Amino acid sequence: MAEEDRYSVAEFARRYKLSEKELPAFCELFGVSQDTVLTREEFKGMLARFESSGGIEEPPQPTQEPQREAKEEAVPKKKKPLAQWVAGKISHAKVFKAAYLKSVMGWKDDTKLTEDEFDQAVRKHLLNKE
Amino acid sequence: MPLKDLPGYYPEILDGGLGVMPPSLAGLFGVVGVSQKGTTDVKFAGNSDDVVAEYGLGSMSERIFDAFASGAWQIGIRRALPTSDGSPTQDTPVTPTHKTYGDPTAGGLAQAEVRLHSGVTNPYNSRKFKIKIIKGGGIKKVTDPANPVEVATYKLSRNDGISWGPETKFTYTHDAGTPSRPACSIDLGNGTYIEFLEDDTTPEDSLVAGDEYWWETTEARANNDSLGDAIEDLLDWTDPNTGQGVEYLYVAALPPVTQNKANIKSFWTAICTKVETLWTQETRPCWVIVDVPSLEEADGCETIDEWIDLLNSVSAEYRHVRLCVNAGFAYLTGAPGVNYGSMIEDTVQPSVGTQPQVRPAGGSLAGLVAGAKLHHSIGWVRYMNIPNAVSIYPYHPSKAISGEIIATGNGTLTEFSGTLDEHPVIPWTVQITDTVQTFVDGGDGKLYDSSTGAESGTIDYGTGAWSVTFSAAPADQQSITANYSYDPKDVMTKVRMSLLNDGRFTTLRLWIGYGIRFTDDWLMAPPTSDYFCIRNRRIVDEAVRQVGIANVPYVNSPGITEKDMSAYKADLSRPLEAMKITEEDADKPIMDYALTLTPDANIWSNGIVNCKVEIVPTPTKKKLVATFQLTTGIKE
Repeated sequence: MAEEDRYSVAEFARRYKLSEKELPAFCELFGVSQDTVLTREEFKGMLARFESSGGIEEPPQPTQEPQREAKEEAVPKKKKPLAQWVAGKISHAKVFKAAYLKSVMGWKDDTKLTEDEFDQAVRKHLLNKE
Repeated sequence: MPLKDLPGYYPEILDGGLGVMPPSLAGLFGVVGVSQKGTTDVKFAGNSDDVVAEYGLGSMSERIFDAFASGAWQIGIRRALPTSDGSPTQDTPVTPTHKTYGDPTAGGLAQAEVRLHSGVTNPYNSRKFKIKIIKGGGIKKVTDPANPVEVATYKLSRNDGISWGPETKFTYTHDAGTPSRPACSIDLGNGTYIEFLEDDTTPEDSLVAGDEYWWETTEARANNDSLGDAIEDLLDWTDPNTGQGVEYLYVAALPPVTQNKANIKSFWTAICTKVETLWTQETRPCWVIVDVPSLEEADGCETIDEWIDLLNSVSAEYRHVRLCVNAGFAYLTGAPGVNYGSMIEDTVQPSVGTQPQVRPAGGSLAGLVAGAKLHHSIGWVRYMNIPNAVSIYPYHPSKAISGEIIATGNGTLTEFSGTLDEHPVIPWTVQITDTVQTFVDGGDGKLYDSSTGAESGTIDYGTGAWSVTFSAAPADQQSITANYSYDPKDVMTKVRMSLLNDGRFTTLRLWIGYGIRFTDDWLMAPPTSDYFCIRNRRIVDEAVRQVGIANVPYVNSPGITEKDMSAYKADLSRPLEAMKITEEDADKPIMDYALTLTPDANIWSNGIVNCKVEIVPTPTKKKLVATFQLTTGIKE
């Protein structure tokens, strides 16, 4: 493998125009730090998965909008394990809330869910809105 | 008095000098719940005044009062942020149920509505109110001989009619309505008031003796999301000196969900998962108290037996060695010296504290544990008094019967008698009618013609026997019907308590001559677990906690060599030795102990020492073992 194809996550993020807001969520999702060195293929694979999961909720950047939209259409409604949704979308009291969802919905940490399924369960069972 | 931000330390005095024991946090507990106002940071309170000043009224404050009354000395509080409104709201007043027993048959003509005071967002607490009209009349006295109006009087109950305040005159406070007419606002002491509007055509019939007005106010509630935040915040709190947190947590609120088996189980599971995580990941022992939903809250339950079946169905599916579930409900007075009255400035109203409420006794349980020695059961009849408990609940509230056919007319007979199907009958609830004439009871065992007020019969409340004389014979084949309420005598009995005990719920019982006590100190542990009682849990947790705190001086030490091990072990054994009974003092938590320390193979890099504590608790005299890791290094 060519030497120039290995860079840190931070460097790849700069090259692939991952915003400063998205980078921490990216690192959290894959359990890497900004200093972790990856191959280009590894990073691109992770980036595709990150983008298919919806990244983080923020207004789309005009400069990257066309590229992102095209990718999201290609991989719609991708399922992720419950643990990843909890890590990415619940900011506080994760242990309690994950345990409640698992008990009331009969889910496990590795149960694959779409974002809609997860959001619906949160709305009903944690926010107690029907 | 300002809130205390950190719990106090109480070093033991040994042989005339300060002891060398590490500080103990045993007895320090936290409460999560909902209240009228206050911070959502973790705060510590040392008495009820602290709580009222910061948190106002509300279900959490009431349970904390119970805890202080039962022996708590300092409580960590995390108020859950309310997420749904109570009732009434500023936009939606409540119209009370009007129970008409008097003359005229339509009852009093006054309009009544329950509202929030201006500037109040939600009622400060949940209450079931009743107003009973004692003397009929209007709101404003009129002395005109042609149309005189006497001022009516009433009694107010803030606890669903269990106890009543003094007879009070309606006070004309303002004019309202269209056309404008006299009105009376009665402050209810929880941010709400009831407004009576005099009838504009016959003011003397506005309020009728015997009539009752029933309504309830409900406080705002916190959803699972908010309660989860509060629970984790309080469990994650640690004393900066020892790294240890509260010994246990009392969750004094339930989420606003259907209280069925799945939801109750999920709530317990979520809390216990967090507590378990603290133990497995941080070696921080903790346990938790929750209340069961009341009979009224429990889904699909109309009788105590159905309620017990529901609870036992949950405990049959879910047990945890760090979970205590309180099923004891009691009629509890307010905290001494605390004015529960209205928080509205410049208003005068009777103190709510003079009228006790039925509520879960989890606060009392938490308070008793805090004041008890580790090895003392909170069910110890001699000492574990619950000073503010008056009687045990749940009871089933009175049941209403409507349209019971008690006789049939034949066109000539005017005198009828018989026995009501259900009894004992609740006074002031009887109505007998043939659709033409109506008779009501006056609370004195007599039946009165509702149109003339003439005494026309009798009712024996105890047996349900009744007799009545119509002034005109009821028509042939005309049914004579009765509406009334009766006491179904559905109360907690020893059999029912034992059913809950079998499910490992804590319950209350009355010991004649002593008072109300908890039956015992159960934990909802699996049937074969040694942690079936709070005492064993506390003793083992305290041993682990104290060994951990004794290890603190060794953090960042150069390393525990084999040569140092004996001194290290002696230091860590010291708190266990102090917990052990001696010839001079047998009132101690453990009979014997063994401490095994095994340095990890990589101790030089990870600083980990594997620790095994074996103890024989005094109460059960059966060896219990806890294994955990100590670290002599700091993890970044």
